[in-house]
Amino acid sequence: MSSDTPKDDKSLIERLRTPATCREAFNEVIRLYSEPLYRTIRRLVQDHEDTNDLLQNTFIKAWSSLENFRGDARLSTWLYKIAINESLSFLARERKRLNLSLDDQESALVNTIEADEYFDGDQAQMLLRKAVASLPEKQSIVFNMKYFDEMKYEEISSILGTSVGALKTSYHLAVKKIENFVEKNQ
Amino acid sequence: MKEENNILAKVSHRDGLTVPDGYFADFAASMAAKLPDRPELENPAAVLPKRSFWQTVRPYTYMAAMFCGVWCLIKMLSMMAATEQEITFENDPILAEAAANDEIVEEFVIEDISQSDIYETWMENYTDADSAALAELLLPDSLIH
Repeated sequence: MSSDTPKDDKSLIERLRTPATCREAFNEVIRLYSEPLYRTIRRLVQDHEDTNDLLQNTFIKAWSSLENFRGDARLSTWLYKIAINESLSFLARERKRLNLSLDDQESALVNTIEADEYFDGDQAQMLLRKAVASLPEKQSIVFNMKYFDEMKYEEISSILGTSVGALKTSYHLAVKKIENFVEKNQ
Repeated sequence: MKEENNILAKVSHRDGLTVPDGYFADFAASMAAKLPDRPELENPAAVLPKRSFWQTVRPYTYMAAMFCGVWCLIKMLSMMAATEQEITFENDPILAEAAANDEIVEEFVIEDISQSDIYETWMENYTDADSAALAELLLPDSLIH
């Protein structure tokens, strides 16, 4: 997570667990986390409208299962988990709905990237975006969190439930695949 | 690796993604309105009804009934296992005593069964003179006359 991303606040969690203040506290959670969660989802599904829907689903799910958040993990960890699960479920549903293989879906995502009106990056950013879209889903999640969000491996580990060693391997493999992709498509 | 490193260095951790103007501000406001009511979360005392006495003791009653049922099942199975045991001269003391008594064996096993069976069979199947003569030879006087 970049230094701009808000950290969990003990008092915020306390207010979430208090009936009288939980709704107001959750509204603050929405304000604090909507942008970082949006970026995480958008980097996976690419399309802004789909991202908007999934972001709403993420917060509704979090609100509906607020009592399940016991406070032993960070609030951000819990929210990121929900957002990533929503994104992966969405991609799986889309594959099923459109009867796509993983390769076909990758091509569809690349097409979405090229037609994306909410992108003002340069050629290099476009190429990197396509390269990341060509990675296996879990690998692209790890790469996005490490490279774009600048999260520590320990933080990513608590979100994905994967060991730090496996994450480091995954990230380095992702970088290698990006290198090959860039070389082929430069 | 050099080209890739150039790419990652060029991009410099920026993804280039944008959103419509005012998106996040509007999102927070509209999302707050979309959150469903959760009275059990926001006002639990008003929602949760007082538990009746039966609701409180019900799980313990069911547990006690379960243990009774298990006990009955075990009892029934052990009774069935006991009755299935074959009664032999070795495991039944009454039979063993009877078998050791020669008078009982003579009266109830050898004499009674064999004599009556033979007599009945002859009476049913053999009524002519030859059979009668044969019966005289084989059977004791007390049965023929």
